[in-house]
Amino acid sequence: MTNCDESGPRDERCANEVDHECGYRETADCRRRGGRGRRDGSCRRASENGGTVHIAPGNSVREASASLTTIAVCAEGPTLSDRVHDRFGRAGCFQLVDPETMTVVVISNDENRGGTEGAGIGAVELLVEHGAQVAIVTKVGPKAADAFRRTAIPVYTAAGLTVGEAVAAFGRGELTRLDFG
Amino acid sequence: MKPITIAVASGKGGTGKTLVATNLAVLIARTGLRVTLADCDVEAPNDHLFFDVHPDFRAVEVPIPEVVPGNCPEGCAVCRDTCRFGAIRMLGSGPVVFPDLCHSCGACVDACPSGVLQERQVRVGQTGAGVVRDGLLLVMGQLDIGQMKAPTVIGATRERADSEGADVVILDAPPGVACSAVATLHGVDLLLLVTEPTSFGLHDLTLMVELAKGLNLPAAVVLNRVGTGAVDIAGYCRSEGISVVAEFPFDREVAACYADGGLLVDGHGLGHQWFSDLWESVRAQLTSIGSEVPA
Repeated sequence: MTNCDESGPRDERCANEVDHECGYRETADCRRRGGRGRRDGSCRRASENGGTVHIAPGNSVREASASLTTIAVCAEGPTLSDRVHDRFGRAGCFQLVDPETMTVVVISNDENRGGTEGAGIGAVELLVEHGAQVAIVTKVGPKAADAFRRTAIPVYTAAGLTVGEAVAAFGRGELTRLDFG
Repeated sequence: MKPITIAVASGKGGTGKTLVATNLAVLIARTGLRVTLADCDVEAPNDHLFFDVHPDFRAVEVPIPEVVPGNCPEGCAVCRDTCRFGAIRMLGSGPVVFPDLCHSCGACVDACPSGVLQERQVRVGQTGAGVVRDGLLLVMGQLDIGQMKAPTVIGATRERADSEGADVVILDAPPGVACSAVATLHGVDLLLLVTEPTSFGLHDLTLMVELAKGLNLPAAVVLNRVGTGAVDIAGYCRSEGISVVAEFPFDREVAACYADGGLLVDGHGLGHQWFSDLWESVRAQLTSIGSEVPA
């Protein structure tokens, strides 16, 4: 591999690169952060018409989106017609939705959902890393609530809706904000 | 000299661990040996209810890192990346410590290049010790409400029990086969597994026997409440090569005595004989596995 970018020592990165099918090049720098098997590289972006864009895990969505608002929704699947997941830390993925264009970036929650404890806390950190500015959930547990309290992300609740319906309802000001004290 | 340590354990709750542990401890003490009974069921200790004892309590504390004001460089996440338990997270304004997930290993403090993490002692529970009567000491662990570190409190309880200079230590284990049980059982000389002849009793006994194998501990079975079910515990024990060292009947007088806070060795006509026989069987087990029991 010779395709090293400029953000790390050349020799170290070259020796530890892994090319993912999606075209994302995982570096030692990424893996080193993953002491517990974090960041599995399985990020993908899907728009409503089924198009898919891959982004590197750990990169902010803000880099991939020109939108001013990024709404993170814990989801049962990767499309806007999937429902809001009724659990937070154990959700399969999060959709980062641009409410103006309704384009979706899907981030995997696999690193947290399979853990024995602290899944909700890890999921909050994942959303912070991806630049989420609003979160839509069904409900969150006490640890995730504690973690959200330490962030600037307002959390809204939407039970029984699809992701698309939830984002639309948020836009109309119809969702209730959770108060974490 | 290191005491002989016997853990009274059960996969299923409510089989009679506390009944066996308290009565056996009193019986052994009456033979003239120095006995420490340690209640390791730190989420619900109740051995003390059977004795007139006033324990001397000491706090159990663990070091938990906290972020102190200092120069935490932008983009540094060394502490988060060092933690193997996910207890430190970067939530936008620097590291945040989640004490419930912390295992107090200190790795983050060592790794921090900026000295912004410092450990603080945090109380998670307490241990108590009190003399019941000559030759019998009760030690108990108690996890504070809202705390999750039961194994830490159990470890402190065992340490305190071992430090009291007994000939025999009886550990009353928490039910189940998870972390709290492992913390109570590892390294003991003999496991006394209390069970009952029901489907639940057999199922959870098999879990316990698997755990005993995993921890490489010799085990013997106390079959309690004989008559409450017809499941063949003895057959299972034979197939596993485990001795049944005592059988106690499903008996109204036992329940009445226990519910009244009494000990069978005092309050039941057959109690003294049952537990004398049990202690003889346990001594034989211990001798057969090479543990020296003081006379």
